[in-house]
Amino acid sequence: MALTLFGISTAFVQRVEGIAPVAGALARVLAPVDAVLRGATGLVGGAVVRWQDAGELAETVERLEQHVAELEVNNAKLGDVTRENEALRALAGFRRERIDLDLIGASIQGMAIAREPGGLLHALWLDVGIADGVAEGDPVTTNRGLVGRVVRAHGQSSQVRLISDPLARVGVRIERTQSTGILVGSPSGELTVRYLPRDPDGAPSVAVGDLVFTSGLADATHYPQMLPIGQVIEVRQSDERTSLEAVVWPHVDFNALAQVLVVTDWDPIALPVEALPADAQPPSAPDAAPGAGTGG
Amino acid sequence: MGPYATGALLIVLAVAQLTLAPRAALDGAFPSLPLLAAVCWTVLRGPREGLVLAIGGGLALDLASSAPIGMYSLPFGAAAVVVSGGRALTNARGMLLTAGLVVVATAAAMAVQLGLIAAAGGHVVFEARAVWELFVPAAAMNLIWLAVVYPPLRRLAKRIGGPRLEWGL
Repeated sequence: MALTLFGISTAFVQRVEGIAPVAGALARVLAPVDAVLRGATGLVGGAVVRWQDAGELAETVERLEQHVAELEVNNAKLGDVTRENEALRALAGFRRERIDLDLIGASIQGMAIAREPGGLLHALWLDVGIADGVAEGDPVTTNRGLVGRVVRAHGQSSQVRLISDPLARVGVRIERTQSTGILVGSPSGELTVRYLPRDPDGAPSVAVGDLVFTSGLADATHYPQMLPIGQVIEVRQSDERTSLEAVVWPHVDFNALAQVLVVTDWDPIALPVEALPADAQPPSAPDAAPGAGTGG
Repeated sequence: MGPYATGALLIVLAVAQLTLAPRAALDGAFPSLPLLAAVCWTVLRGPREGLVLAIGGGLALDLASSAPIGMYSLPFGAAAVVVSGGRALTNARGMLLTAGLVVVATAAAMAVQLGLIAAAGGHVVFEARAVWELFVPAAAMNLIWLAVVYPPLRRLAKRIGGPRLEWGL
């Protein structure tokens, strides 16, 4: 408005002869006013723009924060899915590798009931049961290692006694020396291989770092052979000092199990010929050892 | 407490033990709600009702356990008897007494259960570190959860009425 007034007055002054000095004076008076008004207009306008921008920015920030929160949730879900996918891929790989085993995939019914009520006994519930082909005695494993054995099979669910349970027994073999023993659990969950021979052939039958697998032997603890169990972390003499004992750190974290495989059947164990009794040795190389057979 | 109410309470305790208690695990140890309830009930209502709750709760866990029958009912029953003896020694009937009896009951139940595991052919090594690894966490969790279990049971006991007069143990 000030500019308009200034323009009109200037045009009027220029058309009227003889009043140039007046016009000049007027211009000198109006120029600072115009400058002040320009500045004020700019300040107000800038403030309004900044206020509007601030509002928009706040909305944008809020929107972006929501977006970030959604992305974080999605990322967490993706991480879970990725981990689950990797675990399932690993199980699938294990299933492909172990063609001698007939495996049923099972997912544990939540880790909430992963342990027995008292804490001294160690058991899991699975969401597969008789209807899925599971039977009492079936071994349960993952690609990382042996988990346990089904002790009760119901219609749609089953209970698995972990190998860390004090009532559990597993026939095992030390990979490096091929020495065999019996793996037992304990109330604290510690795994111990007992009845390992003392220094056969002058060499220790077990040492720290040795890998432990199922042997597939021992009728009462019948499992498929060569299922990984863990690694030896301590070797000690038995109380009777007649054999060695090895404390084993399991490959499987029993508190973090998500997916397991139930072995419903497996091929007979192929023992070396020299391991068979003389009267049981067939004329040609044997395919199977007597007594070895199916689980479940 | 009548048989129906006792049955309902046992079901609630067993379900809570199988579903809720493991979620409350700290470093692998979680509370034994039926045992806690049995100790509280023994203090609040007397040895007979406490024993019924202990054995009933133990049987409910036996049914859900992978172990042979009796692996929970016998230890809980033994613990209830021990707690009844402890209760008979004093006239106090409060939270402090109950807390002390919870520790005693945890030890008694654990000792009997370890004995049963050994009797069943299980591998049990009686070492000092087992006390630290097994008993201390279990007793601590039971003490923590006593604050959750005791108040509703005390309210229930008050609603039912005074404890039945009995002869000592």
